Amino acid sequence: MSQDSAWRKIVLEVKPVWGFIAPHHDYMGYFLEKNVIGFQLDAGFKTDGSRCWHHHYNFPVTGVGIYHSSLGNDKIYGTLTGMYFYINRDFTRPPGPVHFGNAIAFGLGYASKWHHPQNNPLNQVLATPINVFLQYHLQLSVKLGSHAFASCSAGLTHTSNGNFREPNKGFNIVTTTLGIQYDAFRNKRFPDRRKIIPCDSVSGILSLGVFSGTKAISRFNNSVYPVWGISAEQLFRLGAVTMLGTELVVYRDWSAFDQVPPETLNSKKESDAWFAVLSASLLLQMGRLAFAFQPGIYLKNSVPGNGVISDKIGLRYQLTGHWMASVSIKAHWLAKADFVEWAVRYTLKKW
Amino acid sequence: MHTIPIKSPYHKISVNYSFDITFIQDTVSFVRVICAEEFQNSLRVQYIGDALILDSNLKALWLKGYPRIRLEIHLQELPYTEIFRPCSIVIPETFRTHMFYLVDWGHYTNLRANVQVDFLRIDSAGDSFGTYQVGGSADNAELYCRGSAIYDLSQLVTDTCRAYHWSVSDMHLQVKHFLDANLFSSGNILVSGNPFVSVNGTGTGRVIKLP
Repeated sequence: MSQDSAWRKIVLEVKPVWGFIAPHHDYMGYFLEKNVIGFQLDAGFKTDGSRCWHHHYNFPVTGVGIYHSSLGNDKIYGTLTGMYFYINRDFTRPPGPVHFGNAIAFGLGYASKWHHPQNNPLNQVLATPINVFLQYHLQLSVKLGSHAFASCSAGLTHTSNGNFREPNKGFNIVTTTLGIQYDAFRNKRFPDRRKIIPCDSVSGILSLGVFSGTKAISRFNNSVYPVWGISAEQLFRLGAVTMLGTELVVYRDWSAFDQVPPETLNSKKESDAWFAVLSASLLLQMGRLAFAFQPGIYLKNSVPGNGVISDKIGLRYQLTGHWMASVSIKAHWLAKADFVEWAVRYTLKKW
Repeated sequence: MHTIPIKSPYHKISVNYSFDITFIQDTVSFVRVICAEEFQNSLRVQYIGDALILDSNLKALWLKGYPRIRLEIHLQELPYTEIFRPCSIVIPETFRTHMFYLVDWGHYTNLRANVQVDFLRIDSAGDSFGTYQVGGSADNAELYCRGSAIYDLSQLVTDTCRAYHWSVSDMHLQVKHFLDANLFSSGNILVSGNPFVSVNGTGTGRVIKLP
């Protein structure tokens, strides 16, 4: 078996979790009875330096994990079980036994209790059992033996349904972990940092996208409204694995007529259902995969409650040379989820 | 246990923190604070204008084991009461007074009350998902039920009642003479006592007479 075979690169970590719900509404806090206790299991592979992005992200570990914890009130909120993809990287690689890094996880979470008007009316946080699961942690690891490390981390875990159904306040959990990590690779020959791997030579991309989503607007209204739209985006190479640009989005939101103030209902017109957003786009590329961060503003908005700011955070995957698939959570007011956007993009021009 | 005397006069109580409150009719007025000793001094009792303000500076509950502060409020009369935070309010023994007037500006109140009054009024806010259960008797009642609040006044005998019902939940009433029902949502009004009923409003809810 070669030095770089998959099993020689495996990284396993078990982490008891302790934390607390950070309630962003007083009634969430009112029903909390205890702190959050759980565990996390991660299994991943160390990147071996065979790709450009391995070097630029300091040879991260990528893998899958499972999270399970209580949610502060067993009767009303139940428990949360998350399954996710994660990337875990050290900021630097000092020669000593102490390493400092961060980890980000995206996946799906299952909440064992959710809102029901009759059976669980006090849960005003989640309306669906399946939700988006996100986690960001800062992590410190200390070498214990040839392959063993002790780790501790602190960060934020979030779950919500992207406004697929209301109520959708979502849980923000301040989570800390203490864990043991088995790293088959770390004590072995480290990838040659001097080896030059060619990066993506594309310096600019012009693409068009179409997207759709669904959204709910009120816990008193069972309707689910469709959203359809198109976008145009131009990106420029900022660094070896980063691109920066702008995106113009135009979409029709079928819920708009039910959100405009009642006093203007008589004067509603078709254009009220159309929205336009101008965003900045920052892409962090990892091979075919990219994280996209898109802060923006509404150019046209007929729902006063939406405010001025429209944000998007998402994942993109390069399917072929021209086609890309993406999933994003669109929000307004920084973090008030609007809808989950499923999109395909076609690259018109590369240079 | 810690006791704070209440000075008169005051015409309103504002509840600005999440407490478990019990109102008890008494000849003297005071607040008994029932919680662990370390949290007793967190209660803030202030008088602003004619209002008695109940508040607390207790924060970061995750560090303190999520304590509940119980207030036993002894009063001669029930004043107009405003609630701004999730609360539990209990009146275990029949409180005989002129008026019971409660306005819930927040999202959640769990009310369990027993009163004998001339006039009763309860208002809940548009996002409320509280439960309001009242027993006893009232000559006249006015109810403004919004959100998904549940009003169960089936054990409260009223002579006349005016109900404005915006809630998606059902409202339960017991009215002897006259019910003015104004329905604006999908919630029904279930009424016993065989009153004369006047129905208004644009909602899909109905008035259902119970035997």
